[in-house]
Amino acid sequence: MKIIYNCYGGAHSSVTAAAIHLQMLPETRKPSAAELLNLPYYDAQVGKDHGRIRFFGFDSRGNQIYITGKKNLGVFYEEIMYNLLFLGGDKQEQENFVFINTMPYVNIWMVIGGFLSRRLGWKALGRPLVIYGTKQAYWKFIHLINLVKDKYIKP
Amino acid sequence: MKIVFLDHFGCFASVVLAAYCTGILSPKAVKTKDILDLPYFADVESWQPGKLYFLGKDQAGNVYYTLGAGFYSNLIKNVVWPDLKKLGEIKEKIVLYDVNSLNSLFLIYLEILSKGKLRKITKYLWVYWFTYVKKIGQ
Repeated sequence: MKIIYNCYGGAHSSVTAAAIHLQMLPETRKPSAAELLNLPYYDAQVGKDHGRIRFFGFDSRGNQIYITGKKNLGVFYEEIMYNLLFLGGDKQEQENFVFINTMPYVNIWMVIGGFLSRRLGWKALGRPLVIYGTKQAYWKFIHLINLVKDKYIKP
Repeated sequence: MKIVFLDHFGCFASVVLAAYCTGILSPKAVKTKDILDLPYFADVESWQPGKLYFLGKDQAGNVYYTLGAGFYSNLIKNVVWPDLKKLGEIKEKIVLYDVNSLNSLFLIYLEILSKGKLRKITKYLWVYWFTYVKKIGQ
């Protein structure tokens, strides 16, 4: 199965969710700033990376985990992706894909911090805000991953 | 080969162009009614991106579709689709065309703000746009 976590820029919430899924971040405590910044792609993607589907790793069941930025396509991203896969003709392959929208778990700190750091390039100001926001929303991301694993990953 | 025209809602410029390609619409004598009668043109159900429509086949056997991709048809065509094709191991030949530039930005915003509820009126504005302003097919 291919699980694609998607958010606006593919730099914060999708990376955090994918990292929790792959157990690169702890499930019982909030991560430190260093742990977040050490994640691949965390606060690293820029405008030209939007839309690129990046491989993040294999989970314990062998599922492939990806992240991507979909800009303001919102919930329509999933619909467009499934329609394009439908055109590909392979129904089995279509069912093999799962798109997880991480945007509902993004808080105002992540939005402001992400904008300052990624769009304006003010890392010194944006990074602390986005890290604070990620920590604030962390239990929600844990909950999301539990839901994803419960729904899509068969034991 | 499958040819997909991408525009904001998948039911305006993309439908008109697909109709030319399939031969439903003749470029020689386009009348308002011809465009209004096109299948899926200004479809009331399509006021948000994401809808895929099958438009038909041309004489060469190419199959035509339209897909609503919002303001991001360019992103879908140039960035997302090549990655998805590789990831999904899609072997079928599919060509995407971004035709969003043929749509009127003013009318797109009108559709978004009205959530498609003014479609009975705006569809005439769209036809006017295609026949007299953009002059598609001429």
